[in-house]
Amino acid sequence: MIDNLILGFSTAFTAENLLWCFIGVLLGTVIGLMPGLGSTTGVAILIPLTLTLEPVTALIMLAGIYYGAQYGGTITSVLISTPGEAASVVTTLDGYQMAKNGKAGSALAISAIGSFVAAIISLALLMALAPPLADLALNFGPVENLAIMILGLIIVVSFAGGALSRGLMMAAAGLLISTVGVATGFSDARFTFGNINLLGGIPFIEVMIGLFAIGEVLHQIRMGADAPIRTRFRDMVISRSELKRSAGPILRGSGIGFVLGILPGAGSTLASFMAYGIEKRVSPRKAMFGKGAIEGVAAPESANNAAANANFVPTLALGIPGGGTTAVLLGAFTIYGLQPGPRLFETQPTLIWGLLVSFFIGNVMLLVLNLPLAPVFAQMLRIPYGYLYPIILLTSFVGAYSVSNNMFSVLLVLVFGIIGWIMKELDLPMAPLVLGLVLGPLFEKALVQTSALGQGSFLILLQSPISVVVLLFAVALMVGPKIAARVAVRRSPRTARTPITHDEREDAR
Amino acid sequence: MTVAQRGGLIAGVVLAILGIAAVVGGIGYGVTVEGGEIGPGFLPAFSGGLVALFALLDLIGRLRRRTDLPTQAELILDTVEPVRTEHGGVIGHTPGDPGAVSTGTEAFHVPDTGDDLDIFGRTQKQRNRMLAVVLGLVVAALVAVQLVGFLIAFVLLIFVIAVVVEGRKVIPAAIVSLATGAVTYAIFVALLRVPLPQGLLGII
Amino acid sequence: MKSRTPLAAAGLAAVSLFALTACSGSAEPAADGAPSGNVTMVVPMGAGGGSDQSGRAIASGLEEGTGLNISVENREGGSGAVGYSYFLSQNGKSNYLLASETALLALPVTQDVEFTYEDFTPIMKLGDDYTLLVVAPDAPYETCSDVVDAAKDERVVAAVSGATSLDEIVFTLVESDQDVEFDRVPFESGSEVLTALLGGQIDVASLNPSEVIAQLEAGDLKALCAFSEERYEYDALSEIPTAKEQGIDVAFAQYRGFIAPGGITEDQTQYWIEAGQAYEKSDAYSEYIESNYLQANAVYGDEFSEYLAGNTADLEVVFAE
Repeated sequence: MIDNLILGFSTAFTAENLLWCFIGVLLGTVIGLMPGLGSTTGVAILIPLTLTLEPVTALIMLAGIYYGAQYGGTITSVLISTPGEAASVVTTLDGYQMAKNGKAGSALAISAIGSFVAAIISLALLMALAPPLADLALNFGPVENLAIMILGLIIVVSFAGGALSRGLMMAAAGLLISTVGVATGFSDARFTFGNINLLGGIPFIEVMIGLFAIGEVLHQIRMGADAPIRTRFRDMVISRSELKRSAGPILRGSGIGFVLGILPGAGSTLASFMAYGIEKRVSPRKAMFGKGAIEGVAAPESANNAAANANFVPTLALGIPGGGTTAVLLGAFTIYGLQPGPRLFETQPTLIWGLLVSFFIGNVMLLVLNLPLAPVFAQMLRIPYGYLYPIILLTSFVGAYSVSNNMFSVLLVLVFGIIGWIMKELDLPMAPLVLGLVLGPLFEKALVQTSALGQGSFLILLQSPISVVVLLFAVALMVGPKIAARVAVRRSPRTARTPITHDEREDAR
Repeated sequence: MTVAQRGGLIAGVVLAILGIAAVVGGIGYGVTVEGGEIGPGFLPAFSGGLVALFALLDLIGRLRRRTDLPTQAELILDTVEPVRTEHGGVIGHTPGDPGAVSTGTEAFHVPDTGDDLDIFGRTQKQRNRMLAVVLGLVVAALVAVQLVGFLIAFVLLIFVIAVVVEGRKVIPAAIVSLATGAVTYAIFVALLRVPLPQGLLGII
Repeated sequence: MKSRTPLAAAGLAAVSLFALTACSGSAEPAADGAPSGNVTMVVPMGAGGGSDQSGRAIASGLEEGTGLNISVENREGGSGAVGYSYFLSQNGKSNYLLASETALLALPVTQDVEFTYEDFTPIMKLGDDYTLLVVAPDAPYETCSDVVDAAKDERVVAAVSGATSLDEIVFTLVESDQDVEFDRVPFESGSEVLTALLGGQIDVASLNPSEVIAQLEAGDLKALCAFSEERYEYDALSEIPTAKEQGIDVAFAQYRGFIAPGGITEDQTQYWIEAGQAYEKSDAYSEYIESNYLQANAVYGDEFSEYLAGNTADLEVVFAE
């Protein structure tokens, strides 16, 4: 272990590797800032740039793009409610509200800190335990995945910002939208109306850009311009009490993110949603969620970063990609003449440990970049809205186009932008819709596979100990708060309106 | 009945119809296949059914509830939180929009006919017209992509919105839109090599 | 493959001539079939997959030989349907190419799409990718016949990576050849199938050598037979018997190659064929073939079309229900 670390440090700490790591995280941040352009696209497009480099240097740079994009995606989620990736959709819920309350600096800082802590925790676990964890993760087959999807969909319930039925309605609508196209294991085209572009389904990136970015722009135009947010520099720096409140959410978020990130398929989106949902359940300041609670930024940001790193567990230990971006990275391995697989740790120690140590260095660089830059980025909000929103329109449409190289994507963004605006006017929550859309194909795949494995019967769900535990947890989440609330309501009918603490007053200011 | 209320009812009806259509479509695709295994129509029928069910519940709720107090069920499920004003006080829900708990700082829905002014002194009516104009300009830009190419069309869009809709000065607006175009070109075309449509003009 | 040398040499000469013309910077459409301006290699699948890798490898190989500027454009969706439909709309443009594989044939047979291979101009087939039947190392099977025998009286769960994928085709062929039935569980990619096989959720899978070579070398999986005409020549795979040796008359290859749009001129077709022939002679070609464990088997133009016609006929039999 120590030898390996020394080997890793001696590999990663060359001037050339440090330089390319820095270029990687910088490019990643820029790519993350662009709506729609996530790490998967970014890494895939930039692979050709690295062909002349040594394999280890190239992979260090590509990995830098990967987690740089995670940090960058947060910035636009907070500042202009435009998530760069599905995993940062949840961050918009409280991050954007914090920005509107003049707390953009704190939101950006806490997400950088949370992401950093999550990265360090998950990297330590990755280094120490990757092979055994990967073997453990293999026990999660279709049946167990279905149980996790059910748990995830139940957590959606806690997202219903307004009436419960509306949150569920939007989650179901998301699921329904996800059924457009061809389902796993079948060749029937559903709801495509003969349009060839719909055969592959309605991609969530376009929906997300439309609903969040364009929807918000249209909404703002109709609501009228607010005065540009003027804040003193002091307010842009995160306060001690905010840091203290975020410690729990960051640790819990890291844990949830790491566990879900190891499992092939579940991914960082579900992790960030779950972390937020669970934080909303356990937080003493539940009432602030959705109105600019710093916990609501800290938890999902830590979760998606932990998941992004945990994705490397199956990738490096088994040669099986843990997610979209790691799949592209594995493709890059072959381009450099490396054989990804279960023996990478043995056959390529220099490469693997150099890469792992570079993850640490890259995250330190990102923290150092992001902390002082948080208040600077927040100044972006001083751009008059009359300039800002047409620029948002341009980057949203270009971002959507660049994902598929197809004008159809641009049309989809416009259509979902109008739908998003209508939803905002009618107070229909958007986050459950995106979660439904992201989970839909995974849920359907797990359903089809489980039913095929069980030959039509779902009793197979109860034959796997793992799935039974997950399902029991789901039931507890559903019933637990009900019982707790019933007890609480009986004790005091006014519990729903908790007195406001000093901190909350500070937040709301 | 306010516009928001009417919109809510219309949205409920539309969603209910869509949900039912999805159920019918799903049954057509086959909810199960041979051997009782899940078929391609299961999820469409299932999710469509849920959409229709909740849309109808929402409709009934909107029609029946005259007050905006949360129901007992919602209190128990802990899905309703009181709205706080910026000074930390607790206010009720927005009147005229039953059941809706707004998120964040937009605690009040602006009545559509109100004459509240934004910081530029624009009335709600003017802003509604702005929205229509911006949407029209976006559609025009999308058409223009075929002619002048993606970048030029959208740089023009920024310029026109800034000058015509937002009343910005011509020279700063030109600088901002050209600079945005240059940055976009650098990132998307030069760095990421995205083949942006060049249109009939075929310049960039 | 025997008589290719003089032709390829001529091709190389022609190509280097074209390269010189292209380098001279004239944007005029060349009379000899060379495309004008930049060339686009369409990949009808997402970034990172096998098609993407082959598209990028072919593009850079052709770039080297022709001196043209070839950029790769991913157009994913509908298991390739979106990309091929887009390519259909580029009819007559010789500066478009598409990195093609068996989806070109499977889609028209199984789905309602507007194209068949006859709408395009086949240029070059680089090689063939077969599949290996793989199982867990402790599975009670030693040969493919064991698996077939087991399927006769018990449930054998087979993973397939799509409704029209290569493994689905292979399993269907085995079923009709041996009169048995496998229980299918659908997945979406080779790596998902691999995960399920390693996790013990399924019994057998039929995967490309490049997808399982690392697991085979590490002893995490064992290969029972190859569904190829002849044994592989690669050292790591030469021990694996073919299914035919074990009495199962099934061999089916997924081709990898590239095509041009329909409606281009003879000269333009010839230009690309010669560029492909030059590519076949290059180190880049053998590197691509070897790192992906393909069987090198390049055919061009009309011969490629004949291959596609024969393969389509096979697929129609497989998917005729």
